Amino acid sequence: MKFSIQKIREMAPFVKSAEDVRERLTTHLFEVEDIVGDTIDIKILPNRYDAASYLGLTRELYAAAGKRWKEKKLTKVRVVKKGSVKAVIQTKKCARCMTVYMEGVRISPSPKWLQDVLLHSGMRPINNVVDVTNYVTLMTGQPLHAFDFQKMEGKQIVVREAKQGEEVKLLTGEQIFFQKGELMLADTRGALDLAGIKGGERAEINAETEDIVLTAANFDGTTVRETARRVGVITDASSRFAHGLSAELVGAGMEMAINLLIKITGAKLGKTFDAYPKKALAKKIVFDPDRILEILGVEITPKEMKKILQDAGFGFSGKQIIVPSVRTDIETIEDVAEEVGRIYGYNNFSLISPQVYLFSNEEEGLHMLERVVRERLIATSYQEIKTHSFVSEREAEETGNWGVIGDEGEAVKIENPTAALYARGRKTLITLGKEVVKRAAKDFSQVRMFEIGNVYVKNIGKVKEETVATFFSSSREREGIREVKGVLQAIIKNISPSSLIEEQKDDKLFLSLQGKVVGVVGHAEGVAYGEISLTRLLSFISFEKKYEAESVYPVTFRDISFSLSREVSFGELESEMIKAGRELLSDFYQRDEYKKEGKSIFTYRMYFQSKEKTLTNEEVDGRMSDIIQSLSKNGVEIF
Amino acid sequence: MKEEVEALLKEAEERILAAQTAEELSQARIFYLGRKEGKITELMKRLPGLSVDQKRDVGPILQQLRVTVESLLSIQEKNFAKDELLDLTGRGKTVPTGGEHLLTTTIREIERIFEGFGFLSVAGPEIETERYNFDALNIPADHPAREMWDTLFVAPREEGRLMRTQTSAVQIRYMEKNEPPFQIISVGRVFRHEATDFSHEINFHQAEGLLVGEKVSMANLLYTLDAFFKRFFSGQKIKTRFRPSYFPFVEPGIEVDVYLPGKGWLEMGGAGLVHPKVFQAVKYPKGISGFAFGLGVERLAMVKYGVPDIRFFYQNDMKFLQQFGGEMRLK
Repeated sequence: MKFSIQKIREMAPFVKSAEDVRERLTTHLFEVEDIVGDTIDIKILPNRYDAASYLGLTRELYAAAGKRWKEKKLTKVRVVKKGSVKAVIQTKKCARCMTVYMEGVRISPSPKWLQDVLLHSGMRPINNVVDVTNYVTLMTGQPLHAFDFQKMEGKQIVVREAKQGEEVKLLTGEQIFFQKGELMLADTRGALDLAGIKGGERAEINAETEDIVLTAANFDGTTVRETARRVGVITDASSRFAHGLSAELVGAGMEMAINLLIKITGAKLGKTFDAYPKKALAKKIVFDPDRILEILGVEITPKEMKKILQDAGFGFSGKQIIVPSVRTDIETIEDVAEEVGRIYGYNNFSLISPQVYLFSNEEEGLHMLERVVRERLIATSYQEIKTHSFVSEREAEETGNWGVIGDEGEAVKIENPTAALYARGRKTLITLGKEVVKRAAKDFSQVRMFEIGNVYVKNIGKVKEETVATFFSSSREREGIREVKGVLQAIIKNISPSSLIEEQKDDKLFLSLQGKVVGVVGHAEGVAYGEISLTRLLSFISFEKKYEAESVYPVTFRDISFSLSREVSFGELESEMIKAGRELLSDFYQRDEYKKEGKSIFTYRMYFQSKEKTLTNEEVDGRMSDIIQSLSKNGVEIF
Repeated sequence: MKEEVEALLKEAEERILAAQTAEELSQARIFYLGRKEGKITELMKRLPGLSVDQKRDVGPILQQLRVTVESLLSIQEKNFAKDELLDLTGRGKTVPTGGEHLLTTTIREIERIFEGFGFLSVAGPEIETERYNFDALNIPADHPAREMWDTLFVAPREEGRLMRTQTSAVQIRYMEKNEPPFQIISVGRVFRHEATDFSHEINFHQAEGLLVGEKVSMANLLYTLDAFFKRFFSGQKIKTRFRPSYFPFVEPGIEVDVYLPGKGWLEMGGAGLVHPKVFQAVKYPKGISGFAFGLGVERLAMVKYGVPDIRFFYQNDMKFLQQFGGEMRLK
C-alpha cells in the first residue's frame, strides 16, 4: 500500500528521511517493498490493517521511537440544517453504518496539498468531495462513500443482503448481478453500491451535485472478500474490509470527513445517524509480565513493558490491559507479548541457546534409506536429477503405468493446474526422467541418471504416496537393461537379506520380495530404466551385517560361446548353468555379444572356485562339460 | 695392480661425471662393466689366476671398484632417465562419475547443521489434507490468511486434499504421535499455484524446524536461527535481522533476513513461537511452548551458490548438473 513520505514526516517529525522511515517500519512493523520519489510502498501484514493509515503508521512510529503520540482534536462542527437520511441495518453482516446529510457542497478540484497526498499515495484526485472521502480513508483506514442526495429515492439508506439477481451499475460502468446474501447499500429503488467494494453510478457525485449523503460502515470481511473475488473487483476498500476492521473506526472516519467537507466544500451539516446495534466492548487481558518475559526470554521490566504498551495505545486499568478498539488482532497474552517484543525490537534481544533434548530414537527409516540408496547410486556413477511433481494428461496416460506403482490406480488429478503440463500428479519418475536422459544422450556418452522422489496414485477415493528411486542408463538395449537390473539388485542385496523374485510381464520385469513387488526394470525410447519403491522396501530392510568366511583357494574361469537355436530366455539358461555348475560355479556374466553368419553369438565367462581345495583343470573341465551338456538340451548351439 | 685399480677408478669417475647424454653414459657402462670387454670385468677375470696373497690383497679393492662405478653409473643414469619418462602433461580423461543434485547438497547441509544441533530429521506426505495443511495450523476455512498460500487442490475438491503449501503440516503429524520435549527438522517438497518465473516454481523445497519443550522463548528462536545461518554461510561475515511478521500458526511471528557482504539484506524465511491454538489442535497440555521456522531451500541454494534462476534446479541441463555434481563423457 502506498503512502507519502512527506506526509508521514509531517506527522512524525522526528523521522529524518525516506530511508529512516524504511528502517523504522522494517524493524518494528511492516516490510517496505519500494521507495519511489515521495512514495513508499508498504507491505501491510494481513492482521494489521488497523495500521494501514497515516494515523496508524504515525502511532506505530511514535511507539517504536519510545514516544507517545497525542492525536490532534478536530474543531467542533455545528448542525445547521434539518435535512436527514436515516441509516438502517437489516443484516448481521454489517456491524455499524453511519449516514450524514450535507447540503450545498460546491464541487471543484481539491486544494493542492490534498491532491499531493492522494497522488503520492497512489490515488487519482477526482473532485473535492470524492477526494476528501479517499483522503480520510488514507488517514484513518476507514473506507467512506458519498452519494448525490438528489439522485437517491427515499430518505433512508438500508444496509441489506441482496436477493438473487438484483443488479447495480458500478462507477466503472460495469453491470453487476448480485448473488443472494451479498451486501448492498440501498434506497427505496434498489442498490446504490456493491457494499464495501465500489460505489454505484446512479447516485454518483458530479459537477452538478449540491446535497450529499456521506456514509461509512463496517462490513463482514469474509462476505466482502468473497464478493470482490467473485466479481473480480478488488479495491482498496475491499481489501481493507476483507482483513477485518474495527467498527469503532467508522466514527473516527466520519468525524474527520465531516470536518474536512465543511472546510473544503463549504457544505452545511445536517443530521447524523449512527446505526450501531451492538457496540464493540473494549477487550481486556490480564497483564502478566512473567508470562511476557517467558515468551520473549529477554529481561524487560514490567515498567518498561507498560510504557511500550501505553505508547502503542494500550490502556491499563488495575491488573488489566485495555486493548485499543482498532486492534482487532489482539486477543491473548501472546499477542500482547508480540507487541512488547516488536516495539522493543527483536534486534535488541540477547540470543539465548535453547535447551535441547537428546533423542534415543533412531533416524526415520525412510530418510535413512533414501540416503543409503542415493549414495549407492552416486557411487555407481549415476547423476542425480530433480524433475517436477506434475505431468500432462497425455504423459500420465502414456507412461504413468511404467513405474513400480503403475497399475494400482489412476494418476492424481489436479483441480486447478496452472498449465496443461501440470494436470496430473506423477505416478512414476520415469515419465520426466527419461526425457532428461534422452536430451543428455545427444551430447554425452553413457548417460546415467537417477531421481529420488514421491509419486502418487489414486484408487477408489484413496490417495497413496510412495517414495521411489528411479535410475536410467542410455547404454545399448540389452546392456542397459542388464546394467539397471544389476544396480537394482545390488541396492536391494545391500539392504535386504530376503531374495528377489523376478517375473517378466510383457516388456517389463517385476522384482518382488516375499510376494510384494518392490521394483521394475524396462527399456523404452533408447533408455533403460529401473524403479524401486523405497516405501515398500522399508519393511524388508536390515542393515545388520555379519562376516562370512570366503574361500581361500584360487578362482579359475572358462569362456563359453553359443547361439540360441530356439526361443529360450536368458533367465532360463542362466538357471540351467547354475544347476549344472553346482557348488563349484561361483559366478558368471555375459561377456560379449556378436554376430557371425547371421547368428547372434553370446559369450559367457564362468568362474569356478572351491571352498575346500585348489581345483584341478580336470575338475573344472568336468563341470564345464556338465554345463555344456545341460545347455545343449535347451536348444543351444555351442561354438 | 693396486695402482692400476686406482687409476681406473679415477678415470671412470671423470668419464662418468663428464658424460653429457644417456648415450655416452651407456657407452661408459659398456666400457667399464661390459660383460665381454669391460675394463673392470677384465680385471675381475684376472683374479682367479692370482696367488692367494694377491687375491686377498686385490680382491676387496677390485670389488670396491666395481660397486663404486656401478652406483655412480646408476645415479647418473637416473638423472638422464628423466629425458625418457612418459609425457604426463596431456589433459586428464573424464572418468564418468555420479553426483548429487545441488538441491540435495543444500538439503544435506541444512540437515547436517540441524542434526548437529540435536534435531531429528522427519518427513511427511506431499499430498496433504486441509486439516493438516490449514485447519490444525490455526487457518480455518474462512480465514483471509488462506490467501497467503496459493493452493493447488487435488480433484475432486470436496475430498479436501491438496498439494501441501508448506512443510508446517509435518509439525502436526509429528506432534500427534510424539510427546515433548523434542526438536525436529523436516525438509521436503511444497507446491504453489503460481506462474513460474526466475524466482517462482510450481514446486520447491522448505526446511521446517520445530522445537517443543518448556519455557521456549523468542530469544531461543533468534539464537537458533542466527547460529544456523552463521554455519550455513560459514566463511562469510554475515549478520541476521529479525522483523515482525504474521503467520497464523505462530505468535509472535517474525521473518528473518541475512546480510551478505556485497549482496545486502536478503529474506530467508519465517518463524515464531508456536501458536497456543496449534498446541490445542494436537491436545498438548498447557504450559508447553515451542518455536517453529520455515526456510526456503532453493532460496538458500541460490544465495549461497549464486544461482540466478530457480528454474535451473528443475531443468536438469547437463552443464548445470555437472557444475555441482558428477562428470560424464562427451560423445
